[in-house]
Amino acid sequence: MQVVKFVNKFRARIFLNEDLMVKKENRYFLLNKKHKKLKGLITKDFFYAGLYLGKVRNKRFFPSFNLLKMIAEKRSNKVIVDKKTEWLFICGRDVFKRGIIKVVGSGRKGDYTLVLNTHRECLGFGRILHDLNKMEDKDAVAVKNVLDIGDFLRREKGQP
Amino acid sequence: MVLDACAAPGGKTVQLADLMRNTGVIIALDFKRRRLTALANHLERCHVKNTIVYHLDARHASKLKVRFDRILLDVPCSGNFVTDEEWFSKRTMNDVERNARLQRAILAEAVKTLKEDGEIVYATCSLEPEEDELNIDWAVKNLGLRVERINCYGEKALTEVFGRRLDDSVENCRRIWPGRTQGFFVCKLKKCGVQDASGKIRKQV
Repeated sequence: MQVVKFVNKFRARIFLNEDLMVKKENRYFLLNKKHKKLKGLITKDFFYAGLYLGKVRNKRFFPSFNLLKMIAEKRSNKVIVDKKTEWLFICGRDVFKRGIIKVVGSGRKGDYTLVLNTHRECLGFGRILHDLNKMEDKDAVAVKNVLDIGDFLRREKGQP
Repeated sequence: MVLDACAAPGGKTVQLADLMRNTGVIIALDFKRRRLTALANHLERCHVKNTIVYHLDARHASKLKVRFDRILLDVPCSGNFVTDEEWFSKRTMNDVERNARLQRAILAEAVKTLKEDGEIVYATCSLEPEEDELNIDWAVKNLGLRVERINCYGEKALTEVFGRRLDDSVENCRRIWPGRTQGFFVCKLKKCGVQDASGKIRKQV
């Protein structure tokens, strides 16, 4: 399943009860037990239900920020960044080595990592471009921005 | 079970979910698909997980075959001049009357889906009596609802409109004149009648 595959990229383990997961076209949702009791209602043509997990487009999985938050609450790959980097990251910029305060989990080149602020709020995720533990150039890009919460503003831009 | 019958863009839905501590179930409806995207974004951003959204006109809410404990009707309305400088040139009395008819249709449908002791919160950002006091007076007289007292900022609603005397309980509604806010009308309605087989409402004593 695409959701589980995505979670594994962060070397995280989260329990997603497949009985409570529903797919609507290309989007995945996680219901709660109360919703499950209303199963008759859910099978009707809903637009959104429970917790949105993400969507598949062109065979790629695009996670929701709910799913990223769930991963961030477990042991997983994370970098904690300073305030300036946090601001730049949510505006769509990459993370420079200088802005990283702490690396949790894998810091290996090519791995995916969540980006968190100092309050441990998940800001998004990115791909590690250089081994974070060996990297010496502090002014080089360490984590390439893939998705950040600024997306909430950008995705509705231009809509009347 | 709570129904948010005219939910998009979702500010009040999120607030409801927060008040319910993300438990229970909220059914949110809107009939404009484009606005549902904004609603979905709001729900995702605020990590709401107790809401099911349907692309459905509030006038067909009974199609869901669910009975609700509470219903929020933040109905489509004419708005007011505070948020729109050209309000007076853009609207006619026909528009106001059309909106009032739509609001009554939504109210009537909501009552069908409400449990016997259920409650409805009715709100508009219009200051037109046709969309506010006159609609509530009609609901009290025709839908087996009564207006409950609420602890809310604002003035008592009008009980005499265009020379017509309205039900005394209408004064329990709150009319919030522009000033500190953009202007609102809000009230809480409680079901006090039962529907018989023919669909007519019998008032409970």
